[in-house]
Amino acid sequence: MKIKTIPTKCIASGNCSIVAPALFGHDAEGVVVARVTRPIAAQVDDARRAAAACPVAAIELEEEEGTDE
Amino acid sequence: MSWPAPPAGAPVADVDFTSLRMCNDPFPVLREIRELGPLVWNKRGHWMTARDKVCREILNRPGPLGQQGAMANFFGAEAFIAIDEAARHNALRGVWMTAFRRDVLAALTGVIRGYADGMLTTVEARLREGGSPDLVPGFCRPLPACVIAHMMGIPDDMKQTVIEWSDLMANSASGGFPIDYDNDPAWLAGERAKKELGAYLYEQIDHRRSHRGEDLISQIVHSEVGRTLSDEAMMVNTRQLLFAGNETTANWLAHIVVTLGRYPQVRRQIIADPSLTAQALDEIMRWEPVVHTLPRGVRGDGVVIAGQRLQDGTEVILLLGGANRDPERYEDPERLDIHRERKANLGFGYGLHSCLGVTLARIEAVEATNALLARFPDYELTTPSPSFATFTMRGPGPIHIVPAARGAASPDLRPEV
Repeated sequence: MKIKTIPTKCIASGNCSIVAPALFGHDAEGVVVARVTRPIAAQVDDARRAAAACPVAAIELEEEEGTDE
Repeated sequence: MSWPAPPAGAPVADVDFTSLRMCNDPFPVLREIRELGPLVWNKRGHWMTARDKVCREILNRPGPLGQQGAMANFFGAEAFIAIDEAARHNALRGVWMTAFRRDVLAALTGVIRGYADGMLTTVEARLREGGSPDLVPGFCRPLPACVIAHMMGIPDDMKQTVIEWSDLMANSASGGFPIDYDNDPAWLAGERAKKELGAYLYEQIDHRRSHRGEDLISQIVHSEVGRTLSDEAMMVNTRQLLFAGNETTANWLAHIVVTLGRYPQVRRQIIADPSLTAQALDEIMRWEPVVHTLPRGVRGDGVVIAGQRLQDGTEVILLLGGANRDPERYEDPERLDIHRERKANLGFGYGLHSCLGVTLARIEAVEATNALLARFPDYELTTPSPSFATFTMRGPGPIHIVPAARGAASPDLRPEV
C-alpha cells in the first residue's frame, strides 16, 4: 500500500493524526504530512481508518499487489 | 461609547459588522481591509484579518488564539466547539467522528434525496398554480434541519419547532454590537429558544438511556465519554451539533440556489456534466461563504502574529469572506470559476475547530442541487439581488423562483463567468 496526501485539500482537522499518529503528522501550518508512505502490514488498517476519517478526502491509498511487508 | 486607542503603528479601520453594507455586499470592504495589512485594528476595539495565510496561522494555534471565550457564552462552556484544549476537545468530538465519516454518511443519501424530493414536489405544485414559492422556507431551511433531526432521532412532528428554536438562536446577535444582554429583544428571544431547546434535549437524552438507538443522541449517551458527562454537558454538546447542522447548511443551500439562478451557464454546465457539481458547490462556498466572522481570543502576552504583538485578552476577528478572495491563494479571486484549481477554502474553517459536519453538508448540497436542477433546470429568480439579514452568518433570502417560460426579470449578470 502507498499513502498519498493532497495538502491543498487539507483543512487540518487533525483526524488522521488522532486515528493513526504513527502514520500522520502536520507541518508548521497544520497541513497533513505522511510520516510513512508505504505502511507495513500491521499499519495498513490504521492507514485505512485515517483515510476514512479525513473529512475532506485529503488522504488517498493506493493498493499495491504484494508490496506489503 | 468610546473605543480603546489603536495600538501604535497598526493600520486602522472603522467597520460596523451590523451595517446594511456589510450584510448586502461586504466584499469591497473586506478587500480594503485585506489590502490595509495582515492585521488591521478595528476602531471598535478588536483586531481583524482578511488574509488567508494569517487566518490559517491563527486557526492553527488554538492554544494562544482560541475560540473558547466567544463560543462558551453562546454554546455552553462544556460544548466541544468552545474547548480549545486538544485532548478534551477531541475526546468529545470523537463521540461522533464515526457518524460523520464519508462511508457512514453515504448510507444517508437516500434519506436526504427523499426529503429533498418531498419538499420540491410542494414547490412544483405551487409553481403549477402560478405562484412564485420562496425556496428558503420551502427547501433550503427545512432540508438540513430534517436531516440532522433524523440523525438525532427527533420525531417528525417536532422538526418545525426545532427549526424555529434554531433560527431564533442564529438570530440572537442580529440586534447590533455590543450586545445589550439585558434588553436586546433578538438576544433575549435567542436565549429563550436556547433554554426551550435545551429542555427538549434533556427529555430526549433521558429517553435514550432506556431506548438506545443508532441516532446521534444515543451515541453520546451510551459512549464511554458520555457516561462520564453531566446531563448539562451532554445537552450542550447535542445542542451545538443540532444548531451547527442547521444554520450553516441552510444558508449554503440558499447561496447555491441564488448563485445558480444568477449564473445560468454554470447551471447548464452542471446539468451537462454532473461530475462538476461538487467542485462547483465548493467554489460557491469559497466565493460566498456562510460564516463570515470567526472570533479568536488572545491568551497570554507572548502572542505575535504577522510581526504584531497582540495584547492578552484582545480579540481577533477572522474575516473568512476576505480570506476566501485573497489573491495570494486564488488567481482572479473575485471571479466565480467552477473550473479553478481545487484548494480547501476557509468556508468550513481550519484546524482544531474545523467543521465536523463538512462531509454531511457536502452530501446534502450535492443531493439538493441535483434534485433542484432535475426538476427545474431553467428556474429564474424573481429578484436578481436578494437581501441578507446578517453579515456574520450570511445567507440570502427570501428567494422566490418562477419557471423561465414565465419571463421573470432576467438579470444581466453573465459576463463574469
